[in-house]
Amino acid sequence: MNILKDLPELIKADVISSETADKIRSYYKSKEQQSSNKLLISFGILGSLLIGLGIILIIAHNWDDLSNTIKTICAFFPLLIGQIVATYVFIKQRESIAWREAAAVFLFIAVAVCISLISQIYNIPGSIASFMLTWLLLTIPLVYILRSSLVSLFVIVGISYYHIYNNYWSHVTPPDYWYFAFILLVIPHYVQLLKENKWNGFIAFHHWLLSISILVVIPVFIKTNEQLIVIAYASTLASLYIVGSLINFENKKWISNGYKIVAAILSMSLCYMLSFKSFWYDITKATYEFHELQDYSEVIIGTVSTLIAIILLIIKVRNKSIREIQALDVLFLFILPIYFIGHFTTLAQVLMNLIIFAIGLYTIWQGHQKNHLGIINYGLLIISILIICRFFDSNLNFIVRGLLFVLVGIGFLATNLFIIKKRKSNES
Amino acid sequence: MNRKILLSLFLVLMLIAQWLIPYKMIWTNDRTVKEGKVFKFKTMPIDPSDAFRGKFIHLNYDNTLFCLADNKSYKQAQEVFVSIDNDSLGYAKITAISHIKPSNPNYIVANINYIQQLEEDSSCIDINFPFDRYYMEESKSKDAEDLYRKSIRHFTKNVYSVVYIKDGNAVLTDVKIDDKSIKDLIPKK
Repeated sequence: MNILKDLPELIKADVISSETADKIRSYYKSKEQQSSNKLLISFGILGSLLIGLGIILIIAHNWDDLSNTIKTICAFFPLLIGQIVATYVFIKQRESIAWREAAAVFLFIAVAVCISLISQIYNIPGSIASFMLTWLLLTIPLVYILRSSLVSLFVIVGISYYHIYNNYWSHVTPPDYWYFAFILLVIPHYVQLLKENKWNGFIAFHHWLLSISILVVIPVFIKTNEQLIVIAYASTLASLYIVGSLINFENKKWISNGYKIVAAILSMSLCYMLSFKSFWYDITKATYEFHELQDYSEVIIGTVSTLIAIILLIIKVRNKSIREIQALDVLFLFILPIYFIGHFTTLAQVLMNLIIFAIGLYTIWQGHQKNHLGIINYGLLIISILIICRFFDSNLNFIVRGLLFVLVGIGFLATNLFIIKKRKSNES
Repeated sequence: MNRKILLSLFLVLMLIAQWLIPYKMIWTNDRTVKEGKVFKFKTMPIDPSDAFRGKFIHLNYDNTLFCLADNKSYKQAQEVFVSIDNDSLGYAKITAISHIKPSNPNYIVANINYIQQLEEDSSCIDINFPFDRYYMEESKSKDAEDLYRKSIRHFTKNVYSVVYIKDGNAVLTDVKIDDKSIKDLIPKK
């Protein structure tokens, strides 16, 4: 640190007192320790992962010359080592994150190695889904016993994969809802991480993976009418967006707010999808048995997710001022009635286009208020994509389309130039 | 209860469970081979474009369809009890499908692949046999898969898997081509 070298000079010149110099020294020392801790954690995890994966590859060779007994001992060996290390860490090294995470990851992999090798050695039948479920059930206690955030992240990814595999790709196994049980089991650890407020990459990864994971499972509820799932998506995206603004992200990098980023991108994608003629054409063709609607899983999940979104919105209004309510927080309240209107009239498509246009304008206005060029360009991008989308289901000729593109481009350039000029005149 | 004691208890339970599950897999496997009845399941040609999936041969079976006078109580992907017996040529065949556990121990638990509706009150059910992978040593598995593919396309060759069955458990122990183990047919490298 250059500043540390300059400290004696600064004390000599009476710029700072020797006490202040000591404080500066201790500050940089603690910062150095923190970064070396991070390195230790990263290398610990990486080392465990590599060793675990290496063992899988060596034993997976399925040595024909070895007897089944020897192969079985080989399969149990990494598990035994993993368990010994995990027990040692639990007793002696509970305060070291690097030890806890490395031991948990190694045991997490060792369990998978053991089960898959036993299946391989004895040709035991079983699908990848049942293997994943057994693996996760045997290792999820590590999240609490060794307070392992990485295993918690692996569980989120693993159970999402299991859920997708079991419910979308595999048509030969009945659907189940293990996913929800596992996510509920992981949530207390996640809440604890948030409470401790020790900001680290683990929490940011939890934000991202949880939001993606929740969105990925929604299509499982499509049973009778796939368009109806739009309600569940609109409400869930609003919920994620609100959660992203309720969690304290002050002094944190914007990229760590996975909830807001995922929800913003997908909410706008949903709006664009609803702005197309073809979607509403399908809706008008949909036939429902109204007395059976309450049994539709799409209706049940739609109702539950809308109620959750409304509760979260009320919490946000109470905790923060009404002026902080964003367009995407309340978007679902507009989509819901428009969806129902869409069954009877083509006005729904027009309304969706107007909503996107309004969100674009509102974003530009917000950017202007905050004097933030990024937000202004985001607003312009929203409107530009709307125009591009309309190209696909309109019968405009190429000359008109070309001219519109040129106009959008000029709009981008002019707005940016205007803002930059305004900034310069304000500065001078 | 003290938090540390509770966590210690969970740790011990988890460590035991991590040994018990693989142990139970081996124990069930051994018991089925020792006490179960052996069946020969005839395999059928597979799609040549189906890529080699790793260190195992992917087996497709013949005689997986079973017709019965019922077209309402079964659904796709449902888990059912499938009773097995030998046909006149000595190969395994499905003799019954039911929702309840059969009294005879020669049955497996399998999922319904698809259902063909025939007439008003009958249907044919296709069963997914769970023992569809035969693991080989890494260096031999590619040759074994190629040999298996060639043999099943060659109608004079008898290709079948050897499966022990007892009380719903099935253990695949060998894949044979003209009564010779596929392991012995692959030259050592």
